[in-house]
Amino acid sequence: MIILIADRLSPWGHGLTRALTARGVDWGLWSLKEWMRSAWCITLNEGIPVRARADLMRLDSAHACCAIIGACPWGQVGIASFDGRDDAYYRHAWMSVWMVIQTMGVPMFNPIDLNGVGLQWQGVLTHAVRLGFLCVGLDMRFSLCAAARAFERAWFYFYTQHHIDFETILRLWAHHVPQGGQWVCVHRLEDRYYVSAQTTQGPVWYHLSRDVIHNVLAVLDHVQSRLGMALLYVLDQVYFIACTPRGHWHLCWADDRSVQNAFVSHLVQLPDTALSLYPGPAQVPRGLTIPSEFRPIISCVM
Amino acid sequence: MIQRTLCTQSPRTTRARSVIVLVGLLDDPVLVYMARRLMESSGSVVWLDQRALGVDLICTASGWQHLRQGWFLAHQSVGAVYNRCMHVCWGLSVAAFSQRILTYLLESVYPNVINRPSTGASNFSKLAQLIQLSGTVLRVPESVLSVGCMPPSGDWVFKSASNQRSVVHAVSRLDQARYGAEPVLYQQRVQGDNVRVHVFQGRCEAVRIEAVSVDYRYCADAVFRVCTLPKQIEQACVKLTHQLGLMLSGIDLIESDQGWTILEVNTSPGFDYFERRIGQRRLSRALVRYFSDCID
Repeated sequence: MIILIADRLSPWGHGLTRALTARGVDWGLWSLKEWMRSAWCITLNEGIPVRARADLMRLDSAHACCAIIGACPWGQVGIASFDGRDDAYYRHAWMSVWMVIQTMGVPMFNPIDLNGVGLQWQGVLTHAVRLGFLCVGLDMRFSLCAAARAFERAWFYFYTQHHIDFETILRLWAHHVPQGGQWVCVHRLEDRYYVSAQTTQGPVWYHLSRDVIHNVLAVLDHVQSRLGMALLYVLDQVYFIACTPRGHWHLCWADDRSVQNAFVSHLVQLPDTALSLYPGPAQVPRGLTIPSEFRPIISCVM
Repeated sequence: MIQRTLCTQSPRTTRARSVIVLVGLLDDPVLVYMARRLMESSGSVVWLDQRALGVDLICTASGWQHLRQGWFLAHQSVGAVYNRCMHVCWGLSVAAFSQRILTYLLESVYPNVINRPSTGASNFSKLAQLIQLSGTVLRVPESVLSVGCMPPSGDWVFKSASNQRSVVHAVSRLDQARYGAEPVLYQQRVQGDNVRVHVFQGRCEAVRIEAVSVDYRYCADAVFRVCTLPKQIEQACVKLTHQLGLMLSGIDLIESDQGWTILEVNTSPGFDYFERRIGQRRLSRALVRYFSDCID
């Protein structure tokens, strides 16, 4: 079974569910809140592979999980949306479950951004520069911080609230790049990639050299993005503008259906993992198992 | 007192690689301890208070500016960093953004950082880390990370699933009416002596702790003694530290009749506590020596 996690499906998430249904693939959609009201048990016993069990509400029979896909708009699967509770202890406890799932080999696409690396443009861009890309504002070195903050805000609002559209994003960056170049999107899907360029008539196919593609994929690897998109600006050299660890092929791809089909074909081939899913009742939110008196704020050994 | 001394010591520090930087909370006892040790040597030390980020402490193109205290620290003057910045901020506030900038600087720009943020994340999830630690000469205890299920029965302990602090107790102390909404880590109890091993630059400093409580940190009668590790255990500790990409680690072991069990690798170890208990400063001296060698 393919698990989709979203409080509200993104446009490409909707397309994906339709394509999965058409291919006869079992899939289920749970919100992050529902996910955290399930019973979980992950067991480590040396010499035996780690196994996990989740008792999920609204499940009719037992399944093995093949993959987990974050299918919300950008930012919605962030830590901040954890059941409306902002308690660091509670939040970190749940994050540790996600980290174990990642460790035990369950394929996760668009995972919850555990460490905020998706928003750490400075780190991403530094890595891109090491690989030979130009980056906006890098000649000013640390003024990159200021530029990055503006980008971060624009990107964040774009994906969380759709305050601005993709064209506006490009216009925002256009102030920082020389005139006459071409906006290029590279979508990555595991080992495959798809390149499109933005034109006034919409997206069209585009060709990038093997070296450039290799380096784009290396940056996406750096942010552990198996499914993602990089935005480039190509003039006589290539600028690495930004990347996101999720698919946005409906926005800027000339033939989004072919990318989606490739993704679904990939999902269909995924084997069962050690994460088993069983029907279970929703847990009623309660207090904490480890009370605050067992969680001293006073300094102690770590 | 320390803060004032540190700040007035460097009102405008721009000389390349001339400063040792401490990063974290002002009331962190480990940082206070480290600051004292560093100030006993001759180097310049500046403390970046995590709580002041984006409020009084602003990151500019060329360095850190403390608005209230009036000092400036150039990025290029940072020669080494002792990092105890533990909690990541999310959101779009200035403070959260400043912390991300700091994380970037610690990860990719500043030299000689103990430890870099990415390596420090390895014990964010105790069970995920244990999975990484499996398969060495050190045994890993049977562990269950669960929520919404009955705890395992028998001689088990429970603790926080993440790197958030909790006092370790026997499962029998759990209030059955309180099985709550957060994932908790349960581990089969291993009876034996606790041994804390600090690894730095390929050397191990080990302390054996004899205590009657499950969690020796909260046992008033606990006895701490310097000890020597068997060669293969020492090598395993050094190897694991290297494998996790850490320069400094604090490894929790238990020696029992069944051999050596590893509980956790602390990526930001509170080594000061052990030095106070054993009355020796071998590790802090090594750290001070390292930092002194890093600055011009």
